[in-house]
Amino acid sequence: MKEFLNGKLQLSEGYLTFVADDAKSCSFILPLYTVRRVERINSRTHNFALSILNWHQMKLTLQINGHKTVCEKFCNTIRDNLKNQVRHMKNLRSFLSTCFSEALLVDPKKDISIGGLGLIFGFPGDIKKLRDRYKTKLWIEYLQTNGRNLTLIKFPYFSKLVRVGLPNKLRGEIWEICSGAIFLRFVNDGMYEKLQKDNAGKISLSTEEIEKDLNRSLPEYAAYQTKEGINTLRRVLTAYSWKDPELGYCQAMNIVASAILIYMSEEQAFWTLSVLCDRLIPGYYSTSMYGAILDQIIFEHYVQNKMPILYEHFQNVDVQLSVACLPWFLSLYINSMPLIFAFRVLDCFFMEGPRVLFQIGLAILKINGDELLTITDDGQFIHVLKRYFSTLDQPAHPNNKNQKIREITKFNELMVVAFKEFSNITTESVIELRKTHQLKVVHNIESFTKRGQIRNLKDTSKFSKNEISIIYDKFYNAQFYGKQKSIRNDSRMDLNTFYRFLGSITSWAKLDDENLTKENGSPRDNQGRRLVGYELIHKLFIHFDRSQSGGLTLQDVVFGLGNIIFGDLMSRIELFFNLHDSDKDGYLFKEEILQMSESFLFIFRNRQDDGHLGSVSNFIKNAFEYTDSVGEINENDEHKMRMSLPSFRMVILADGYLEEFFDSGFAVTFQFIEPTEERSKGLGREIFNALMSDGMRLAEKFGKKINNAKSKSHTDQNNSLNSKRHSTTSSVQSASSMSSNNKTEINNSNNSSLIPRNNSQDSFISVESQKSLLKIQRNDSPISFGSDEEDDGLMQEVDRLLNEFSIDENGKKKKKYFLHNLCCIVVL
Amino acid sequence: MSNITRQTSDSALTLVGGEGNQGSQQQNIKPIQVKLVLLGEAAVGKSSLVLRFVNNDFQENKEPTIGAAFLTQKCRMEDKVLKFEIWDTAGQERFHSLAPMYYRNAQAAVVVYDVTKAASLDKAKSWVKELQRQASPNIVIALAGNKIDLVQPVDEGEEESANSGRQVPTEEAKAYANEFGLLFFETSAKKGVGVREVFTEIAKKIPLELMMSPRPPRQVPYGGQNQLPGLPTGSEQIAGGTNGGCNC
Ligand SMILES: Nc1nc2c(ncn2[C@@H]2O[C@H](COP(=O)(O)OP(=O)(O)O)[C@@H](O)[C@H]2O)c(=O)[nH]1
Ligand SMILES: [Mg+2]
Repeated sequence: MKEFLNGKLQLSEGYLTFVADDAKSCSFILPLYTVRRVERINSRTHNFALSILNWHQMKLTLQINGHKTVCEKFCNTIRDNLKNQVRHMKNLRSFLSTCFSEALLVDPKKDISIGGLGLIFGFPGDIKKLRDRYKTKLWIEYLQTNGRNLTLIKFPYFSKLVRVGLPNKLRGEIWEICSGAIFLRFVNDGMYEKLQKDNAGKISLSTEEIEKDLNRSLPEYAAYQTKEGINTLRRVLTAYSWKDPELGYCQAMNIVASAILIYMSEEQAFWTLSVLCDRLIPGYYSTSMYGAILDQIIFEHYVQNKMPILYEHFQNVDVQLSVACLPWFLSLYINSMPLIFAFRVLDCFFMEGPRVLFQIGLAILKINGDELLTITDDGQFIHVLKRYFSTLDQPAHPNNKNQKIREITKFNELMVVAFKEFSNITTESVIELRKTHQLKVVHNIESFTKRGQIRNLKDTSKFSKNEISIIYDKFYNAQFYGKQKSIRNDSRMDLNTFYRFLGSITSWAKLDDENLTKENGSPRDNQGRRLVGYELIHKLFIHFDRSQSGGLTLQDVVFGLGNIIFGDLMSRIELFFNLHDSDKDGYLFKEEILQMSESFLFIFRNRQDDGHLGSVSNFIKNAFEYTDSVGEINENDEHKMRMSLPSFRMVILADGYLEEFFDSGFAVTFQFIEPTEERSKGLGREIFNALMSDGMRLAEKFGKKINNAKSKSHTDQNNSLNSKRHSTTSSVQSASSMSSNNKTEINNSNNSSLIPRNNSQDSFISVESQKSLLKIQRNDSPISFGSDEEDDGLMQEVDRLLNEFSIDENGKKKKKYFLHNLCCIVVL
Repeated sequence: MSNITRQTSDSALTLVGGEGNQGSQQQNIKPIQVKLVLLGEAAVGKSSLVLRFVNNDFQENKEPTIGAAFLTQKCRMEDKVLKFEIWDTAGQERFHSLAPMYYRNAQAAVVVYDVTKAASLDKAKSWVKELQRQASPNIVIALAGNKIDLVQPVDEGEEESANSGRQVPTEEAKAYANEFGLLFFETSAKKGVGVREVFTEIAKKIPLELMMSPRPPRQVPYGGQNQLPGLPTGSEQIAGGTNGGCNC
């Protein structure tokens, strides 16, 4: 018996992926390093077919629908890519020895010690009640026929098995497969240990923060009352903080890590954290936590749309949803629900992505809707939810006559409401909303931070609010472009950034202006003059740095600028004197006097008048005239000529031009105007771009689905094998524009849906077929359920849940696929 | 310094037991809700102070807090029953942008610093500024210098290391508090010194009469200033919202 599955095939440098057109009936990710043999099937027709045998002895037949040359190209590409993956193949055997499923299939009865802390300290929940043994049996059957760990093929039955709750010992591995973390772990073999070793004994702000939280991460779980468990948690969190030092550590990561470590090894948990932070919930744990705030806004948006009355009520009593809901999202419900239920939610989350967080949240509000309509403050809101969570194991309909219905727990009900009533919360809509709101969120966080920092200035000099605001913007803009990474609140400005900063507020400090780069004077002169500029600004920098920390705070800058701008003739003369008195002995010596004159020339370089030249030479002349005699010291040594501050003052005041400069001219060169075009590429823009690429990465993960949806209507006019270049920054565009791209091309590119971003050696060659066909050869006798001693109650539960979840398939209950051979045929 | 904390002993606050066991005569008195938020640098002892107040207990904080922990405590003062709804915020700096969510509409705030850490007073001052700009205009703010047990020898024997640990002189903090109109206390969550007084004085200073109405009068929202940054304010509709639902 054969079944055909139409779908899209993607070939990248490291992976071959397939998603059926309906995005449901079948999908797989096949790492090329698991491929043992590829054969071209020569058929009589013009069909092009490949037969692939993988590590787990599964045979896949791909029939590709496309022009001959395209098929040839595909063939060549896959051959080349396979060659490149050979280096990974040798790691396969040792890697598979770390996969629970391998050992399980060898001997299901054996005690296998691959997994998390649960193996030692026990798993939450009652094994009997959880039907762990029976579920394991079903999984053994599934894994035997449909591949496992690196080669798993997902049929609809897979998601049903996930939704009824994963068995304890397999849980970690299935999470790892669903999230894709398993592929990261494979290709980054040894990295976790290396991070540990390289950073052993080091401390940082993150490690200190981690230390504080270790004792309050799931303290109710036995392992975390022991050294062993605490050490495990510490190692994973600190290793992650070294892997991504910019993110470091955020409270709530301890909760997530401590929970998944019950089911996962340290290394598995480490890579799963990585997928979480980078892809599934980007920005949740970052230093601004923009992702968490963003998703709260999206959640409110959904509540407003789906439950307008409730939403209105919350508005009326002025209760903010986030006070209760933010922790749900941040800790993936682990901190909110009893653990056994939280893990069921996690099962779904890893399988379907962040939409699950929204679906569950909406369902919680919906189920408690009546009661929530009576609350009037935060306290009651939290109380209602707390009580609900603590009764999740109780019957949802305790008084129903029908015993079957009485058996439905509140948690069952929650799952059904979440996935049935909120099935239209799709990954695409989440991504869309994230895109819609992120700019605003970033902007608001930015202005919140800005307000706070400005408020905390101890001394705003005499600057107006607006001027301070502009100084703030310029301060952080300069920093941003300097470091090319996100700003921390405590960041200090270094010298290089100060050059840029000062150039943005006063024209003489622009070190790349025309008079320094253009033809007037020889290039050498310009070079020399620019050095004078660097020198002068460096002096200012040192002067501004009152704490001598080698960096300027916003306060330093405001204070320093304020002294210049709101000072007076005398204070500015003194400032210049002090700047050039490098050894701070209260005198300017010959060298320093000459430097002073060069500084003048540098500042005046753009002045159109000729007056400054005369004045500066006057200055030098007078300066040497007024130098104090240094009687005692060797008189004929002209290097000992020196000038005190009073003499310097006299020299300046003797010259009208210079006097004017110190009286007002210097101060007015500082301009606090914000050019509009500079604003638009300001900080918000940059974070926005970072957000966009986060969103992109997420979109890429689901990109295939988008592709499918979009391309379907075009398949008729577009029969050729359609390939599309993927790149880190343009994947969303490429996804949406691909239907208009009829050309066939095979391109190298840098990223892919399944390739970790730090894994550049696995860059993608992407070949997508719009109309591939997957043919499935089904096992003639489908394996039957419940053939064993397990009680029939279980059968009912599983069946009932399976029925409940078959809604996805338009009410039509699908048969279970159990395959010995998978045959994908892609027909022209 | 003890006169600061002792002045309250005349009209004391008595705690009323947990939710379940309230006496019948208290039931007909509608408790006046006081929303209170604790702010301050990490590890200054915010959670310990709350724990001392609520459970009269001191222990290592085992409660995993994400964003903020929520606790309640009913108290009786003279003829009134108060219910403190306490938000104990988490200390990590990156959670700062979430703080407005907790202090919005708060009637009281306890800003805590650690008398053995000068920098923690700076942080406290910055919280005070933020509250005075962004929280409810009538918010009652108390400044609490915690961990005085570390600098006050309880018995003579401990004297050696005693005052060397103090980094914030009482007078300095007190002067600051006076200048900014804050209540001021020095406390020890560990020894249970001054904790009850913080809440008593707050209760006295809050205009309770105004709040006897079923719900406290609500401050007009500040155009989002006192909300989670990025969250829409009450009046602001999110683009794309359907109008299909009931808008009654
Ligand atoms: N000696 C002393 N230690 C305290 C006191 N209050 C809190 N601590 C300790 O300070 C640390 C931080 O306390 P915690 O309440 O968690 O601070 P939070 O981060 O502000 O909530 C803990 O180790 C407490 O035991 C106090 O009054 N005296
Ligand atoms: Mg705390």
